[in-house]
This record gives sequence, C-alpha cells and structure tokens, in this order.
Amino acid sequence: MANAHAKVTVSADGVGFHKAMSGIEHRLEHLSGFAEGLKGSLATAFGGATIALAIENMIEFADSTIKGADALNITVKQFQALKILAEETGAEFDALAADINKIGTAADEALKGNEKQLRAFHALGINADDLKNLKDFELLQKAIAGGKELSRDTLSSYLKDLGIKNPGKILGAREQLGNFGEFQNEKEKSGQIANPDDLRQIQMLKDQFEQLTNEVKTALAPAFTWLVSIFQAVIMGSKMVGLVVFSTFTLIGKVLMDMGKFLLNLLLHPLHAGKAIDEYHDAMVSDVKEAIDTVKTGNQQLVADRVKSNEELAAKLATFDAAEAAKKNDKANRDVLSKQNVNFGTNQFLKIGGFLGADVNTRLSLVQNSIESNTKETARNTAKIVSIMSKDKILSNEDVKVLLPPF
Amino acid sequence: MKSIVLTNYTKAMLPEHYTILGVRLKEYSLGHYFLMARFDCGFIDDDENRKGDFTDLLLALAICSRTYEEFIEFIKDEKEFNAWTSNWGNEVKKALQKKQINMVAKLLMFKNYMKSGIPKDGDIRYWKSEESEDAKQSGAHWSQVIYTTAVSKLGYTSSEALNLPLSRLMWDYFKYIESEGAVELWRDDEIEQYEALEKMNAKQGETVNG
Repeated sequence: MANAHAKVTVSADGVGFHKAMSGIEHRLEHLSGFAEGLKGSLATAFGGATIALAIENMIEFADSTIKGADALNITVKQFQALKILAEETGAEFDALAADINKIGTAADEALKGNEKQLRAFHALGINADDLKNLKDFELLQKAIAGGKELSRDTLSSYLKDLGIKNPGKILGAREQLGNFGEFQNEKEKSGQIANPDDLRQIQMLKDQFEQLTNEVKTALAPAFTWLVSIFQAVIMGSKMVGLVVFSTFTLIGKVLMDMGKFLLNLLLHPLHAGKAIDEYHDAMVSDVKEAIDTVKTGNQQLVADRVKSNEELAAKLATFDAAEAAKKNDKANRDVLSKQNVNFGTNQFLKIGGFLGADVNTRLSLVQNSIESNTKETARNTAKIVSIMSKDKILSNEDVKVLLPPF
Repeated sequence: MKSIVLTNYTKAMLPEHYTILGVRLKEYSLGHYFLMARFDCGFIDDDENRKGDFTDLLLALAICSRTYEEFIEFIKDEKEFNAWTSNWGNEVKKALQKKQINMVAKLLMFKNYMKSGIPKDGDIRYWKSEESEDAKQSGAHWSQVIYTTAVSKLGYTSSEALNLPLSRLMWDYFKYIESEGAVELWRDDEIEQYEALEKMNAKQGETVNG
C-alpha cells in the first residue's frame, strides 16, 4: 500500500509541513468543542429515520438479489451483472428474466421433439447435450454467442422461434450477453458487484430487522407518530430534541446503529470479512434479540414512559429554543422554529407537553418574550399555544388573559 | 501503443467522478484525508480492525464533497451546517422511500472512490535504490511526508497540496524522489514484462489448483 512506499524514502523538509499544520490547528482551535460532536450533529441533522431506511434498503437488496438469483438458477454475481447490463442497455430487467425462462421452456419443448425449436437451437450452435445439461441462462448466452455471425434479423427470427416475442431487448445487449463472463469480470473488477457471501450475511439480518421494527411499532404504536415528528424536528435543526430522542431510544437506536455499522463494514472492508466479522455479526444478532425481547416482555410500559417523559422534556427544550430565538430576534432561527411549530409542534409537543416542567413564571416569561419579538407568526403561534394549553387546562384563565396577544 | 505509465498518471490527474447519495464528491485529496483524521472518521483509520459506522460515512461524504477550506467554513457556520445536512437527509429519505437508491451500490461506489483516491500497489512501480533500502525510516506519517514534499519541494501552494487529487500528488512525489535518486520508476516495457509474468503465474496457479 502507499503507506509503506512513502515511508521507505523520504528525507523531506519538515518546515513547510509544520508551518502549514500550525495554520490548520490555528484555524481549527476554536472549533474543538464543535469537532467532538461533529459526527453526532451530522447524524442527528441527517435523521435517524433515514439511517434506519438505509439499513432496510440494504437488507432488501441482499434478500431480493439472492432470491432473484435462485429463481433464475444463476449465481448471485451473474444476477448482479445482469441487472447492471439491463440498466446500461436500457432493457427492462424483468423482461430479460422472463426471456431467460422462455429459453428454458423452449429447451424442454425441443427435447420433447418440437421441430421449430430444435431447428432454431441447432442453427445457434446448441446441441442435444447442451439442451439437457445447460442452465437456462447458459443456453441464452450460448445461443447469442452462436449467432454472432448472423444478421440481426436472422438472429431475431430464431429467438422468436424460441418463444421470445420481442428480441429487441436481448439484441440490444447482444455483445455483452455473447461474452457475459467477460462483462461480469469487468464489473467485478470495477467494484460494482457485491460479494455473495457478504450479501448472504446481510440477508440473514432480514428476519431480525423485520421482527425488531414490528415489535417496536406495536409496542410504541401510540408514540410512534410522535417519534416520526421528533425525527422531523431533528431534521429541522433542533439538535437538543435529537439528542433527547437518541437517549430515549438508546437500545433500539444502538441496535440500528450496530446493524448499520455491521453492514457498512461488511461492504466497505471486505478484507476483514473473516472470523472477526462473523463474531461481530453474531454479537449484533444477539443484541437485536435482546432489543426485541426487551420491547416484547413487559418493557413496553417502561419504553412508553420514557417516551412520555422525554416528550415533556423535548417540548420544554423546544420552547426554550423558540423563546431564545425570539429573544435574540434571530430571524433565520425563528423562521425554522416557527415552521417547526406550525408543521408539527403546535399540535404535537405543545399539546402533549406544553411547558410542563417549567414553573408558571418561566412559562409566562417565555411566552411574553415570544410575543415581544413582534413577529406576527410567532405571536400567532403563541396564541395557538395558549389556546391549546388553556383547553387542556394547563393554563389558567388568568394566565390566558395575560398571555393572549392583542389581536 | 498507449503508454501504460502515461495512462496511469493521467488517471491519477483526473480520477473518475463520483456522486454518492446525491452529493458530488471532489477528487479524493490530502485535505480530505487530514480532515477525516482530524474529525475521527472511521474509514481512514490506519487500524484496519477499526470499524466505521453511518456517522463516519456521513462525515466522509460531507468532507469529500468539499474542498478543505470549504469544509472548514461549512462547520464554522452551524446554521448552514444544520440546514444543509437536514436538507440532504430529507432528500435521501425521500429517495429511499421511493426506492430510488440502492444503498449497497452506493457503498460499493464509495469504496471505489476511496480506493481510486490512493494509488494501489502496482499502480506506481519502482525500483528502490540501495541507499533507500538501507535508509532509516522517517517517523513522519506518510500523509505528512507527501504534504511537506508537495509544498516545500514541488512548488504547490498549501491549498493545492490539500485539494489536488491525492493520487496525482503521490505520483509527483515519486517522480520527485526519483530525481533525488531514492527510487527508479519502471518503464513501460518493464511493466509489460512484469504483467506478462504475473498472468503466466496466475494461469499456472489455475492449472495446479485444477
């Protein structure tokens, strides 16, 4: 690796380097606090739900690839290469797969003595042994290779005799199908084909992932909508709310992050895919089981309680954020927070949590600050907040009189 | 016939472009390497047993889609940072929900990006001089050595050294140390001979293994 090469030689002048590095350090100095939490902030703002979707996407891909390859009786690598071929040539993959099956049916017919099919196979260089021994996809490849000297029309007519009604798609990929091994090697070499063993390892997670998400959904059904809202809040920029969520769902979050970590490392570091990755996989599967069991066996209440208590905390923090923005007359931040309030907050966290946890005086001053910011939108939101809180008897009538903005 | 050395060098000068999860990545550079190291990204760690997670991937993509200086500016502005990242997360989420993204393909692409950024063994072939064989190894990290040489010996500005494709810097570095007598880069005919020999060995291996 480059690492070793570079070490062998150099008697390089260190002055330029140190000069430049001290510049870098200087520039980074005031960022040090932020730097520590940079990755966390990225993940929070990016959204936990998105990460969960990405994991699901990988598991689905592995599962559909392995099942698809089995259904076509081809290898997992061939299946992936075929998909790439379909994408590159604009052929529909499903149509290509159907054509492979048709060739198989035609071979059965030919073996039963069907003249038309026998003649077509023969013209394409396929004999009786091939018909008996080759798999459907191998037959298609051999047929295309065998017809490489034929004109497009003649080849098209033979393919039609073999049951392929619209050979245009296959002919569009004629060159690659006739030399599919090479095409596949090229794609493998350029890193576009995932290792089948890796995909099998990923597929093994399918059941666990489904079980986990189902259990979580069932156990947290009432809180789930709220959870999604909070993830939206996270996406909208309230880091504090995000942190609360991640701490609430530590167990589930940890499992999801572990699963993601496993998948990434399996795919990105295939060199390590030996014993260590197997052990890692086993450890992670047992973590998933633990999480499922935790949610399943009598801990729903605990999780729900944690959701509730964090809901209140989240609401409080969001309110503080809003008040803070209003106080600073920070337009950009206030816009985000106003949007946040309107889109999900007013009817969610404020209704549920309001200013719970803060004493009346704090509540009053927060809302007062909000009103004083002289922003119509903030004032309207405040009116909504007050009205909801009044309805829910969180605020007294007296509070409402004081708090309602003058419009 | 096209020169192998020239092909490899021009590939290093203009590496392939990658767009991953909606962000177009810049050519992998020393600046990216330093930033990932500085912010503890799991994917460049010298410890091969270390494993990166999704946060490492997000960090790597956020870094590699910017120049060194742009990234420093990006993280200084917390609002911009949050707005950009949440917008990015939203777009990726939408695409995942609509099944428009194949995450496995994206990760393989990312792996290729990282791999193509640094010349592999065999991309830059050279003979070591006897002095180099006996030379004491520098304690500096290889990335520091490349950076220093680029700035102090090759005439690159700091920004160029941090932002030009790392693969190109490495080629230039090897050319420089060749001129200093530390190595001798292989000529086309030497590479051809070596590759022919490798092919022959591989074939023999296949025969032996049945």
